[in-house]
Amino acid sequence: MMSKIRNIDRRIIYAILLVSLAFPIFAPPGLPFAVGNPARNAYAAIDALEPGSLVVLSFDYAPTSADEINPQAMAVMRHLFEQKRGVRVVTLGFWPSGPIFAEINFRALEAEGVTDGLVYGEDYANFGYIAGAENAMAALATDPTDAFRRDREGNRTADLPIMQGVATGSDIDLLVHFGSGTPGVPEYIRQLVDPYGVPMVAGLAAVSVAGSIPYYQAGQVIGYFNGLRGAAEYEQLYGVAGPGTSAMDSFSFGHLTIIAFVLIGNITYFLDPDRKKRK
Amino acid sequence: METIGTWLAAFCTLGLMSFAIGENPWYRLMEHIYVGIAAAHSLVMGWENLQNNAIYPIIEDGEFIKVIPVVLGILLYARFIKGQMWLARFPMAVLVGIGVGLTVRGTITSDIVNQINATLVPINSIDNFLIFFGVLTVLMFFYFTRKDTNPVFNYSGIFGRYVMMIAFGALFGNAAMGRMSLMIGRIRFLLIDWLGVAS
Repeated sequence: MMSKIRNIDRRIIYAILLVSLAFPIFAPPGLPFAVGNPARNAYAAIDALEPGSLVVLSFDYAPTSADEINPQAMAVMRHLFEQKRGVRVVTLGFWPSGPIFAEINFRALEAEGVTDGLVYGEDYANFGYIAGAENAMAALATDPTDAFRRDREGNRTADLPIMQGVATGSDIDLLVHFGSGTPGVPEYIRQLVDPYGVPMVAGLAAVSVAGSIPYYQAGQVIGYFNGLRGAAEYEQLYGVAGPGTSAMDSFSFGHLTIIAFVLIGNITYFLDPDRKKRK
Repeated sequence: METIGTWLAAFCTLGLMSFAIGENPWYRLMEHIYVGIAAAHSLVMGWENLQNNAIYPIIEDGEFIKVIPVVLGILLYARFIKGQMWLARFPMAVLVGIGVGLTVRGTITSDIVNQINATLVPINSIDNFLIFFGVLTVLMFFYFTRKDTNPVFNYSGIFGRYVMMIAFGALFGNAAMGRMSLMIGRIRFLLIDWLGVAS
């Protein structure tokens, strides 16, 4: 009996997990969740931006991580465009797919009317993708308008009003990096954060968080968002429920299911009378 | 048009999810389509990058110095020409040289000095104690060129192993959480955007 439970078909486990993740979408119980210090610090850094500040949103992820990271980016962009009018927002990417997400998010916010009154080139701009990974980051730090000669619209970035007075990376007031791999946090820290003293906030895929925590502990990253949960935390701090918040119940149910499976697996292992024979 | 896109996305999502049941032609087809689209998209974005940072500056701004990296870039493809592969070594040498130079410059400050600084904390809280003690014991675990008769070294190495186990556990927990996020995203798409059975 114990052996049968332990050797249960993995597809049954998948099916149970699928049901446990889908159930709260139909009947959300609204389970509470706490907001951690990394997300609070990140939110505070963005909320403290003054009109005229230049914030760079770096989209460095692929569709494979979009369900995790895009809700974070959406929440940050909503915050900046709704509440932080006057802050100059530049989006760019060191991953080929990155700038597409910036555009998708912008269009979604545009459809909601969040971006009404904003002028392209003055309040925001999309610089697109640049190849070269860490080398390109170094170029951005040395001279942003030289690294990105033209934006996605084909305009010269040096001629855009949004870039007036920007000579080097040190003129960037805040870097918000949304990323799920390389180039990512370590590369930005090596080329822009430490040499030029640019404050950095990171929106990360959950799998990348453990590797980036040392940079947070060292103060090189002000704050970070941990996957979809990070998005939910940001939405809670901002006071607007979005895809992150609505996914939290599914998260909790999924975690409880996995914990239950871990417990069942251990109990059946230790109660299995054949265990000692195998030894 | 949007409806067709949603149905297409649902078809692709279900195809990729079908791998949970087992390897099958539907999954294989979707996998190939995904890789093909990703490669094509990267090519288009790469071309846009080349236009903005090389072609336009050369033609419109007369920055002929940018011809050099373009030529070096073209030389990379010499590896596909039989007998001329050696030409690809020059751009590769430039790429590796610049890459290593930039990385090493930043690594010393960011990944070594600043990280060591962050470890040298006053031991006045449990957090700081754990950081200090954890770093020391993990370093002790990787100190191989010593005799195994010293109990201080031995026990601290064992403790360091447990510290690493906890770190790996946190890493795995976050990885599981990340995968679940992706699954939730797809389930929400199927139930809300495609089927419209939830809101």
